[in-house]
Amino acid sequence: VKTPPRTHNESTRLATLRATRLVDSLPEAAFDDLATLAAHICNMPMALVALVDEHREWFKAKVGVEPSDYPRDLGFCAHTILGQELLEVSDAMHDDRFFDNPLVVGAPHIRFYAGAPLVLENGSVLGTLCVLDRKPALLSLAQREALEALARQASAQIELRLHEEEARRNRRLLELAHDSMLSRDFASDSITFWNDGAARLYGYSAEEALGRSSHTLLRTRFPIPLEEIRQQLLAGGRWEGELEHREKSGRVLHVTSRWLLERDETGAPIYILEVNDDVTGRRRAETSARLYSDLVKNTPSAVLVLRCDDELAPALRLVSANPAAADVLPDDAPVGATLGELFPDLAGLLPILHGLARNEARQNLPDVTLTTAAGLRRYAVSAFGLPGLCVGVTLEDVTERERAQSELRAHQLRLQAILDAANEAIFILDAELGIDSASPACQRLFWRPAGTLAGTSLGKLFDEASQARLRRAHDDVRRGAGGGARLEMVALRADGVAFPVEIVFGLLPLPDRLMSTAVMRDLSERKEIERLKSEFVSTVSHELRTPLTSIRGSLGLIEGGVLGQLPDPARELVHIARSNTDRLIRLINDILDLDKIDAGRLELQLRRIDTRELVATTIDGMRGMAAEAQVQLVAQVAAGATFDGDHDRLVQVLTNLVSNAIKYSPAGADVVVRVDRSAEGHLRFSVSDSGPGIAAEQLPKLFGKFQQLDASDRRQRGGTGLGLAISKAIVEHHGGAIGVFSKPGRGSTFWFDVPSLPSTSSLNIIDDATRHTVLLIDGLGDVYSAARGQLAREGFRLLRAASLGEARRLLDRTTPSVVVLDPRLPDGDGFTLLGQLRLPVISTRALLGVQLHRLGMRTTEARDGVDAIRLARAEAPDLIILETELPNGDGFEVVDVLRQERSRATALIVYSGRELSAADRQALMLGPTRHFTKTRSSEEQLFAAVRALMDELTGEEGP
Amino acid sequence: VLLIDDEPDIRTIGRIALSSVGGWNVLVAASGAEGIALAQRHSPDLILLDVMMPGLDGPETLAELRAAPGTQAIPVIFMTAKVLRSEVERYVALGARGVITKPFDPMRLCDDVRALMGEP
Repeated sequence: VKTPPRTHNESTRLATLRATRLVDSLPEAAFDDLATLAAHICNMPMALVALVDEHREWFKAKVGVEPSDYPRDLGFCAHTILGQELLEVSDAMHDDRFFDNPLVVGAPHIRFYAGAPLVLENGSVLGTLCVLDRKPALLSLAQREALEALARQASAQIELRLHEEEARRNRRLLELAHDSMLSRDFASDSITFWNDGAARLYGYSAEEALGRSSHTLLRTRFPIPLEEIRQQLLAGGRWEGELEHREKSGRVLHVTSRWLLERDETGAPIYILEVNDDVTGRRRAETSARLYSDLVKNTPSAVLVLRCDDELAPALRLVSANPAAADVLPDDAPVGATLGELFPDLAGLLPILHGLARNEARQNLPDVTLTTAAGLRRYAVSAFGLPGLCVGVTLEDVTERERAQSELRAHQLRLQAILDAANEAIFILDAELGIDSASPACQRLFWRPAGTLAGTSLGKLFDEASQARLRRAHDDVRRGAGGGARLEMVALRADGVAFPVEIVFGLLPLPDRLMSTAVMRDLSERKEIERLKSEFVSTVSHELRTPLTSIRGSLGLIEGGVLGQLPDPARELVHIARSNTDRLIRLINDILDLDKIDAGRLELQLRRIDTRELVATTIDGMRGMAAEAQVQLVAQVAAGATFDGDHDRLVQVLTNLVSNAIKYSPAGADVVVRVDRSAEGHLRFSVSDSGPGIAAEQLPKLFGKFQQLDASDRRQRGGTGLGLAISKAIVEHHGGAIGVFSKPGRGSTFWFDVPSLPSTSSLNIIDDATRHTVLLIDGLGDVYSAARGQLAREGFRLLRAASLGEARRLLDRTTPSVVVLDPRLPDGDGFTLLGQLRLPVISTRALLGVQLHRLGMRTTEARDGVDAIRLARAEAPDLIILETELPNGDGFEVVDVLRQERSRATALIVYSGRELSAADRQALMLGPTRHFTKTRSSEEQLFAAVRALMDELTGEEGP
Repeated sequence: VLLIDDEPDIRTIGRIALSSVGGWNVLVAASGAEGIALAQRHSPDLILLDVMMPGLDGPETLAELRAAPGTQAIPVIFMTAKVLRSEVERYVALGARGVITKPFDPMRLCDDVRALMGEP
């Protein structure tokens, strides 16, 4: 038997055959009909639609034949499919190829065969449509043509099957991928499928692309030879890589291409499914990444740009690195090395970096320690995604910074340890006395649990009377005035117990704002020590005075001749003893006085003093001493001067000055005691001598304790060295001042000023019981000048006190109907008066009330913060005029409370004694609000604002 | 004049000053109780009364004197080594005519007493 050769394209043929899925399928009418038709037309007993696979010819349709197949090598069809022409064997017995064929020699005894090949469009010949007979025969020309036509029909049927299979596959492809897709014949590369994505990407329509070789159409440039790709494809079933394509317009596209080999049932490759992603943008991103790396070339931080291999496999490869990265990267780090190779320590970051690359997000990562040429270094890492699956990583060397920070931390810890250990309570405050932080001693001092002080106001630690003073002192320090000044105030412990504290404010300029410090010390112990000291001094002095009384008394009686005349030498000695006893007594008295002054317990017994009487009393007392020193005492007193003061204390002062003058005057000289009115409403007492005078450099020391100019002088002149210090304290307690004019050789003039009373006419008004008296306590005089005219027109009598001392003196002697108080006074806090007054005390509100009444408004007056809140709730006023400085809760607190309530929309005029900051104004707001500063705004402006606000309100609400 | 003081020295000096310088008749007592007894017996024109004494002190003695009908009208002047003004005020408020502070000048004691009594 002659074995037929294999076709020239046997594998393709077989693949195509498999793709038809016809072999071993069930009979189908379409093919059966063709076979029957062929048998009839050719007038043959047998007809077949035979498909030739590797080993058989299998019959899809058969007429007059029993078996379903013949072996390929025995059948006639294997010969037919070698060509594309009809093969006719008239008599197999006489054909070289078949005469010994078992099918010819034995059953079914075939003598005639005519087969038309089933040729498909791709050139494969899958089988035949053939007719057979058991006797020799010859087809007519018409019969041959009919057989060929029927074969073409069968081929068309098969072709249809293939297209159905193709369509099914394409649908699957579409489902698989979302991007540009194509399939192409494995052998010819001709495009068999072209989806819309591909049409969009490349610009070719499906019609233009189908049937063309994809590599030709897209002018593909391969990274490696195509044959290698095909080998990889055949070996692994897939290939992935970057290709360069050209779109229809000619533009170069970079794509990542994934190829999947589609095999038939036998594993023979048929199609390549190709999915292409446009990565042109990524390429550009790489370009911009290079640009970026140029830009960061000069940064001290290492900047690395890494690119993900692809979205699925998170390997990051080095694209570029800036020069600074050389410190970080291992030597000879190649571009393309993976992150894991470069920095094994950073391998853990891979998922994060990969995520950033996909999202183009930015993230700071935990610091890392890397081993570099310079040893172990610490790096701050941040990473940011770049377009095209790239990620930038910056490594900032923070070794030094961390070292500095750790030193700073150590420094802070040391400071903290000092703060923790300090006995003084140390606060850090903001501009509004808010506590920013407090040292542990603060908690101990105020009995507050840890952490409860920060965030509250320092004012809350003091009673209400102290808060305004505290705020003022703090404001002064912040303004740069009165820095480092000591304040003594009464603070409140958490349990409500009051205790004395000393406060020193300081400035703490921070880069962004000005803070302040407050250092506080509990004075309880010191006060107690002071009290014990005073008691000790007082007791010792008292114990000294008792025996001195006996000595002084005895000597006085002897010297006075009560027991009879003494011999002259004895009287002289008794005189010495007596006068030194007097000196000792004076010294003890002075020490007691000074102790009282130091302890703040110097009490003044104020009463009306006539200057003439005061001087006369003093001179009378000094006459003996003057006569002894042969000095003339001369009084020159201006007429009619009276003032309020402590008579005995002022005699003490004047006596001290006269006594000094006598001591230092030469015999025969005059000591002149003068009283004059000074321009500022003060009386000036002066004592002039023609003694040796005092050197300029000695003057500042004169009024200190034990400050006689030298020790020998003290002994010679018989003074205690305390007189001027005491005098100074007494004069200052009167609200006055003391001083000296002196030149060596020109004598000295000691003087002191005390505030004089207002003119006698105003004093008469005080006693006028038929008219209401208003006492204006007003250190600055602004309220006085603003209100004087108004009050006078209203029939009030007006008294003014410019100081706390003056106010006290006036209040001792008269009871005004109303006290108007501006708490800013030169010699103390006006609020301290409040507790002592049993009078209606107002700020400027009485004046306002009168004016507002004139404007036709009904007014209700609140005397303090608590009252203001109560009235605002009860009366629901249209307008609130509020002063910031109030007893019992200041204006800020009032506004704070009202803001929480229905009064929050009430019109408000804030009338403040001090400049309001922007923050203050913000805090002092209800409804429509105006702010005024007393010293800068006139009464008229205030009332204009009241009127405007009221007009606004009535306008809004209607009549 | 009745002088009540627990210090013998002061009693001696006071007695001499009041009698020799002022020419007054002087009674002395060493305690408040003794002073009250003497005052009731002799009805003096004036009592000089030390403030700090053991037993009845000055203010207590004054209160006793004021409580007894025989002595309630006798003027009393305190003598004290304490010098606080507020204390002086307090003594006056108790009903004393005034206060003489120790140490005193014995030669001027009678003058000071007269001044406090409102005499020339």
